[in-house]
Amino acid sequence: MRLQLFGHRDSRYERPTVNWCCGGSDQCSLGPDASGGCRAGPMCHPVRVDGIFKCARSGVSGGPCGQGPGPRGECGCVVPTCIPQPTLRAKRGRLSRWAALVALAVVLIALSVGSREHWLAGPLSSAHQEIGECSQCHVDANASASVWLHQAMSPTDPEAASKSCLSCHDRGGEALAMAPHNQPPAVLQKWRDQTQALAGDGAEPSEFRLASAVFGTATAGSESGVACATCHQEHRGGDDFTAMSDAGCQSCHTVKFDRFPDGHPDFGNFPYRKRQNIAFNHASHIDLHFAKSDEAMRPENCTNCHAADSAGMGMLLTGYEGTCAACHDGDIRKGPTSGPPGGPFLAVPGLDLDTLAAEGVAIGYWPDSFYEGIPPIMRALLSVGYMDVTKLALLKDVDLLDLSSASPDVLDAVATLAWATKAMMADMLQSGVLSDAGTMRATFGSKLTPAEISRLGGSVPRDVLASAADAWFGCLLYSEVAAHQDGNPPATLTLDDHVDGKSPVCAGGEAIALTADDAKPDEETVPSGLDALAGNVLGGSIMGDAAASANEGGGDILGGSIMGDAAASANEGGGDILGGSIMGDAAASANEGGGDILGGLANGGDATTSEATISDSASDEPAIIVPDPVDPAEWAQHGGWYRTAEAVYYRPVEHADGFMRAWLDFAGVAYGTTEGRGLGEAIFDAMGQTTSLGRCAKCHSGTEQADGSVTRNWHSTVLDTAARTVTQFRHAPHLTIAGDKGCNLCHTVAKGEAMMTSYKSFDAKGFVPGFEAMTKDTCATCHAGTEAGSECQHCHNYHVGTFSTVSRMGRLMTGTGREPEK
Amino acid sequence: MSFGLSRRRGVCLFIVVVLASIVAYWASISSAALDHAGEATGWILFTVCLFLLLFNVRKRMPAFPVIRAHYWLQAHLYLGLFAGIVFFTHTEWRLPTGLLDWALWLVFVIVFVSGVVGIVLTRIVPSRLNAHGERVIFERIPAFRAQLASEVEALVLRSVREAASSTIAELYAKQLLPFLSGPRNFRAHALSVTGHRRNLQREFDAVRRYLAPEGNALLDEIEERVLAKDDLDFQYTWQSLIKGWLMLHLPLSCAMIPLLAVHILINYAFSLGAL
Repeated sequence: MRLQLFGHRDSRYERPTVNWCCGGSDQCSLGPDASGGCRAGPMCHPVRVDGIFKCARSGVSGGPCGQGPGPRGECGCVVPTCIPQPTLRAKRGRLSRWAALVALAVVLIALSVGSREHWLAGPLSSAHQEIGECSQCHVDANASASVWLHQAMSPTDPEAASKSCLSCHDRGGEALAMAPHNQPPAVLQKWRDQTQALAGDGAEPSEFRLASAVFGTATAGSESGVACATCHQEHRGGDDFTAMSDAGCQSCHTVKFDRFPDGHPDFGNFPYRKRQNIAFNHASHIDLHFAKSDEAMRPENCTNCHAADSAGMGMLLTGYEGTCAACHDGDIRKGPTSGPPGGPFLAVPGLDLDTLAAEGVAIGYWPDSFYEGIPPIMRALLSVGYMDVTKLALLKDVDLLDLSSASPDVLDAVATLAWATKAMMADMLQSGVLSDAGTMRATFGSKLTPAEISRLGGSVPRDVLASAADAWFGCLLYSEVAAHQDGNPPATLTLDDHVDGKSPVCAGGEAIALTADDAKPDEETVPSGLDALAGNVLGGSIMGDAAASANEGGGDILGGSIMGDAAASANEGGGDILGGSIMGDAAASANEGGGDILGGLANGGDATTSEATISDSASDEPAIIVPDPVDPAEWAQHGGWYRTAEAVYYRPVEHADGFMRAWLDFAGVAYGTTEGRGLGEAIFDAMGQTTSLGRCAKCHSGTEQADGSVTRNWHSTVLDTAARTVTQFRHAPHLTIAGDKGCNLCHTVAKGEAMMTSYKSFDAKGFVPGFEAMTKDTCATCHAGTEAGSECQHCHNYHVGTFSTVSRMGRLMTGTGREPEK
Repeated sequence: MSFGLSRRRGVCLFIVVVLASIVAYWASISSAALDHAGEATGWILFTVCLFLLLFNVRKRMPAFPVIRAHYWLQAHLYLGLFAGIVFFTHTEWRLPTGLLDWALWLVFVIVFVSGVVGIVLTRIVPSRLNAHGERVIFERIPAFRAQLASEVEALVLRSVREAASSTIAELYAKQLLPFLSGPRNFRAHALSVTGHRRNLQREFDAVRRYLAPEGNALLDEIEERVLAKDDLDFQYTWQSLIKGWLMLHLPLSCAMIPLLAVHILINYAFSLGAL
């Protein structure tokens, strides 16, 4: 059956734009008005024709009704009223308006409430979760919406925006914070050159050519640098805040490629781009030394000596004790291949005293026992406020034992040396070694810490210094120094020439100065003068000269507790021969001209005298046994301090000996200064050779720094976990897949001794690696697809350098949560 | 569908896909220039959305027929598809994070999906409507439904009067009256299930055996109108669907405008240099 009829007589026109429709069930033909009012009522207005009312209902509504109008002309077909209903279109329009209004209202309300940050942006990355307020990064976050609008209209300044990040993050200082890779242009250029040299001939992928054509060249190399937000997209939550696409990484690079196996530049000399700190020849050890060594000492594989660090990144040496000590521990306590087994700390430089006396250069008393030259450490000590470095340098090539042709300047420098030596020893005895750290720092520009200064001093016992001073200068040290400082220096004088080699004498605990007046230049008069001195001294408690007292028979020779002259007692048959515990210059008297009997024991004096048994000459007295003379150097075979007649020596005690390290470090610093370079070289000559004291330099290389100083590499090359390098490699995950070849899969030992030659200099750049070059094909075996990862960030870091940790430290608070009072 | 129309649609779809692919590829290679395509794709999307909204404005202005509405509709459809692809390019094919972005994302996706559903409906519904009963104007369905109900009621009364039987009246009271009083079986019609129609016919067959020939004649007339009412329900169901998706599509499109404005404002005010 057909329901719908069309035609103006059969169907009303449905207007699609009307907003109201009839709410009645029969859908009256009138329909609602435009405002939704019901127009129901009579279906027509009957018309009066010839006095008769006739129905005027339209044809659409059915035409004239059969019922017809009433007698008064009222319509007989009244349509009941209804409540018009909105059309679907109207409902849709209302809903649309409401939806827009609700959305607008929600947005406005959300913008006006305080916690808008919680919905306006996505969650922060996990690394930034502790940031609570938007305003910590976005200055205008708490401002009104109008400010936001202004901000939105203002041009964006990525550099200024990045400063918000840099307020917490250190990226190499302000100058390098936004520089590509946080590196200066020179470094970038170097990297660029290296990469281009290693790159193949592959064409640049079309993606990059197109991107370059469309977007232009990446701006990373421009002066503005790379803003943080260029790579770091925040408010995305999760942990991928540092994720970067390979294309993004390569956007600035001159060498671009599609995949790691197909275009990545060759490795070149990676990872052997730096000379290893420890001079260790794998080839010779494996082929020669290990083959000869005991099986128990021989490593079976690489992991016997190397182990992954806690981060699994680098393969560290397991330590000296576990690797090298078994074979090399003995080297440490060895002295240099020639000379005394220890290193000289202090000494009495031998001087041409005759020339000095002849030239009228007054240096006071100077002993005959001498050390040839000035020990380098002593030079360093002298230069700390005692002697001008330039004067020291003047004496560098001078033969101090022959000053006959020396210039006045040299003679003056020699005199300065003598007085500086005395003054320094006096100070050391009074104030300690290197007590004036400030001067030392000022001299060498070194930031020496108290601990470093302590190590430089080597904790030398004062008694060692005291006995040395006593042996060398006796009690004259302080008085002569005082006289020199008063401008009245005593003339050059040696007892050796004038009083049979006896030490200077003291009386009553006070030093007796050998002044120029006392020390008469006339050779014949000097003995008498000294005899007189001796005569005055003999009653003293400190020292008695045996011969003098014996000959003169005067005084209580051994009255003093410090010094007893054995010979005198022996000859006289009385007294406590060795009453003095420090020094007994006994042999001279006992044997009439012999040496110091107990020199080697008590004061390190000349112990070359023959064994003497005093009791032989005094049979009625208890036997006094004097032990065999001891070689001080041999006595200190396990390391430590010892003294000979002319110098105080040190022998290294153990691996990583603090004294040795301190002086080699100091020498490296001095080497970098104009004034101290010669001193540094001297110390290196004495302590920094492969065959010198302690053998430190045999393994521990030195590296010259940009400022000219030399850093001694005390540790094996370790991966600085705080430093971010361009390339990172985690050894740990690779150890299990190396197969039968083990570490040799990547690290093939290079044969020969070439790699060791580079350790002869401080230049760490020009070196020969101890391993063959690695090839990327080894890596590409696994890292070719997504399984093992071949993205740029898999091996490379963008931020390169050593950066401090995020600095958002709170201020000190008391327990009550308040800041402490100032 | 004629070959010409099919070819025209194919060409338009091809153009849309090509243009969208260009935008997507362009966005993907922007990272190769250390650039972010988000700003550019965002503005493309915004412009396209504005154009899509203009279609509604155009429909409201029949007095100013700027290009035929038919062409506007076609442009709306294809640009809508284009906007969808650009949108997902703009979002980098990942889910949003913030509440605002989630709201905007959901609104756009619903608008887009409802638009796609609308396209599908406008393509398949007319033929279904033509194939199922008389095609009537949606707005007139209530009147026709009332007309049929009135006619059935009159026939039932007539059956009682002429056949002196209450069988048809009982059928009317129990089964037909609820059926005729409003739209029924919306879900069944939407799913093109016809079980309810067969059930009605079985009810008529079951009654028919108890009626005299006069009663059967009346019952035939009643059945004809009941089935016509079922056809009306079918028309109502599918015309409701074809008009109903706009109840989602258009209001949410309007709701998207303030959300878009805030999205742009915030991104420009706080992008820290990266859009």
